[in-house]
Amino acid sequence: MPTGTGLSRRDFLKRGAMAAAVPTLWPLIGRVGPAFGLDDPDPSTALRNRLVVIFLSGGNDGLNTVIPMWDADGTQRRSVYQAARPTLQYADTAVLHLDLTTDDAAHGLGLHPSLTKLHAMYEAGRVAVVQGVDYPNHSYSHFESTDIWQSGQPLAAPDSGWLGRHLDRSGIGAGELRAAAMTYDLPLALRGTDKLGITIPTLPFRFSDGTAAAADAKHAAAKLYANHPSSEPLRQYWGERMDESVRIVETLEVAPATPNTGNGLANALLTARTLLEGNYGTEVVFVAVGGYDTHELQRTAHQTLLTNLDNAIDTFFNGVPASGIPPLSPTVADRTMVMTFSEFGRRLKENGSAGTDHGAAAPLFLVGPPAGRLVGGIHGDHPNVGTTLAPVDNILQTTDLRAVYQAVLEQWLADPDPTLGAALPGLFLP
Amino acid sequence: MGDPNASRADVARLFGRAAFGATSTDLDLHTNRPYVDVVDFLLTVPDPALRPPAADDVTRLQQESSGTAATAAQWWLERMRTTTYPLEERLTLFWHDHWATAIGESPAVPGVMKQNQTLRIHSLGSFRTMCQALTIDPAMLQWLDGERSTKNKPNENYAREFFELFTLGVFPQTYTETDIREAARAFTGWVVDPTTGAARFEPSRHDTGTKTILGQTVTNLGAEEYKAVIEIALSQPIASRFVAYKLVQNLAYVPTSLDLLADPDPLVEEIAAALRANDWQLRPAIRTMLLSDNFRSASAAAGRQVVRQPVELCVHATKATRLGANNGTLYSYLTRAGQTLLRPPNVGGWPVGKAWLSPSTTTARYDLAVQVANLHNQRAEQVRSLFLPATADIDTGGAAWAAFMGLHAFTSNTLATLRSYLASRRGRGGVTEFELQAGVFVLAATSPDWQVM
Repeated sequence: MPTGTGLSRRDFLKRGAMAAAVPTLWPLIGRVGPAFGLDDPDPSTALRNRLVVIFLSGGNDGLNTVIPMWDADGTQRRSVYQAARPTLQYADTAVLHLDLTTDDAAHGLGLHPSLTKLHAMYEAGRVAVVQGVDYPNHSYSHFESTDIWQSGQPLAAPDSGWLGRHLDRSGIGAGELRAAAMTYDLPLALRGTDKLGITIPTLPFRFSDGTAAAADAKHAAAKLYANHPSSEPLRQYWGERMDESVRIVETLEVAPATPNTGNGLANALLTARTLLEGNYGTEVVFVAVGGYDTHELQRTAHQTLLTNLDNAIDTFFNGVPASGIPPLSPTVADRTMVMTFSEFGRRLKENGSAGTDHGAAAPLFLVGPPAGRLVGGIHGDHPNVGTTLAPVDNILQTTDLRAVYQAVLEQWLADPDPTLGAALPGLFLP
Repeated sequence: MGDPNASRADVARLFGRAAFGATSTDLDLHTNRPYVDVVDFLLTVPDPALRPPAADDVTRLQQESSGTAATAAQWWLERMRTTTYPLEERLTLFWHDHWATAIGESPAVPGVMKQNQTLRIHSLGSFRTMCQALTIDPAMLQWLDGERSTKNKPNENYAREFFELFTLGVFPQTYTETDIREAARAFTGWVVDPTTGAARFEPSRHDTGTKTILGQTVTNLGAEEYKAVIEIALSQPIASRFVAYKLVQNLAYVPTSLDLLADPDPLVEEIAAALRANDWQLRPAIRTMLLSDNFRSASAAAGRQVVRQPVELCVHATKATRLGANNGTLYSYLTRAGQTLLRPPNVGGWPVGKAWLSPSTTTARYDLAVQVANLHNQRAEQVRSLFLPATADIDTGGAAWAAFMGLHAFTSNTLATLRSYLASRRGRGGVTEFELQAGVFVLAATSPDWQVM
């Protein structure tokens, strides 16, 4: 089952059982090891910051991700939560407390019980929780909301991805591995108006009729399809994709196989790691995991999803020593940040199917390097209007997603987007 | 109006888009016939309920009872390759994409395969009747949670997608969140009988209150109420244009206009008018599309071509080589190319246009051709030599190879590419004609001419 992450409508996977699972199509012939890749790495690319974006497709239940533990600060957050979630609530004793001091913004909030490893990183100051992230004129459609999140364009028909425009501004060549998605379809996030990211679902990345070492004349010829005349632009587009694919295969066909951890998201992140650690010039990677559309029987499903997320992020940074998968190399770890997002949160109240329907604002996570510039802790207010969580059955926006993107672009990737407005203050140290 | 007679290019395009590709026989048979007769040849599909069963209908019923997701999909691929009515299967594939329902735990193979036959029966019938059948289709009730939706806790999932994906679309959005919630109430009461697997109306679960949907009042109609919601949706001015847009996008090109009310694409509007004039009958609307100059002479220079789906490529390649499409290897490469038949990625269906293409799916499309060539090369030598044209044909213009691929001709860049391959591979020596034929096949099947029509 392909991980659904293409432009617009592929982005939502309905069933958890169908989710994630980038299949391992090749036998495990090697382990992710030391850096390898192009012979002559550009030192400037090695020093770049890297960004790993994890898309939780389907609409993650924010209220059961960052959970009110008591009615702190004169609010009724916990009371409202308990009333709205008769079967889906978590006991305050089970929730992983986020308070680092008694008066910080995390007061009375905690993480879902499954996020133990993320919680440990939070306590080490590496995790920023941005609260109540949404956009104006919220859409409850998976497809529209996914497009808006991936584009950062809530006010007009989305025409490019927020990271794709970064590629436009940076300028990249055919077959360059600057931005890659571990998916079959290229997500809108990595589509610029001119430049495109690439897709590497798993490694190695090869044609089934042999490697360049076999000097297959067909591969060389297939590159010529890029010369298709512009009088047929769609055919020319195909020809360019064929040429690009051959070039990427030539670069990557000797890369070691992605290990199979049994966790599709972790596998995708290990594929990402191979690109980030190798001298491929990879700066941005995008992975996706489905199953978050928990309309029914949410409790167990959401626990499994967040456990897999927690393990996958841990595997990305720390490896699986028992399986011989080493930690992320320290030089890359010092320059790599992970960011999650979902197309929306879910309704305040649970529905009649022991699940929750499409909602609005939700928290997202940023996980930075040890002792890095990312400011750990809670950013923005927990959705909180008057004495209830929200005036209607929805969670209100307290942070505009465009401000989060701008902070990441400007202060992490050093390339602000003039269309996005001001950055969220305080997310990074100067 | 174009030439009354079909050119070889007309036949290649028509079959390429609407019939899983032409064979060389199709090209020879239909070229220079009146174009309208070629279209009507494809449209001559007897009502599936009235015609005798096809030989493979027995296998289809076996798949309903004991198939897996893989065997059922492979059955369908082979049906697409061998059917007497390729337009019917092509449209069944289109409707499967439109009402995208995937095999999983629930719905499982039996429900989705029954839905598959429902789509086939209605593929050229009435869109209204299709909406009625799909709204209470057991697999759909499971897929979009209708079976869990009750008067006390209506579940919005089906109602939302009914408007957004099945009938009205969002170009622009003409319904509100309130309309979705009210429609969800009207759809309550339908469950799937666990014993028979059939849909059943459960009056105690139905919301009998009055609803207001798109400005119209719906009072309690019990088991008939879902039909009232469908009538309200189909009476919206945007509905016919949305269904027409979906057809154009899948079978002709991705329209550039994103406002179906203010600025509909001309072909979309022609089809939509036919739907309105014929009370939602699909056959005249699809006939209008295939006959339109906006379909037949769509401007390739303006990008009005279609990126063929992996399933279409697989079926066309096996038609050309006369290999069975009921094949697990080909099925697995379809997955890598992004199209697992009977398991669309989500209720929005598969991508369209350029969104099909990424380095991984492009590589998989190449590999799909490689696998067909491998299967061909596993044949006995005397059989192998029967089918593929000699590579010398490329040196003299490629007419035989183009016909073999269901094209009227190769474009000059493709021909140059094939020649470059042959020169390079022959130059290295130690090559057989079979290897060269397989190489030409793979490159022809990954050419812009064949991937985009």
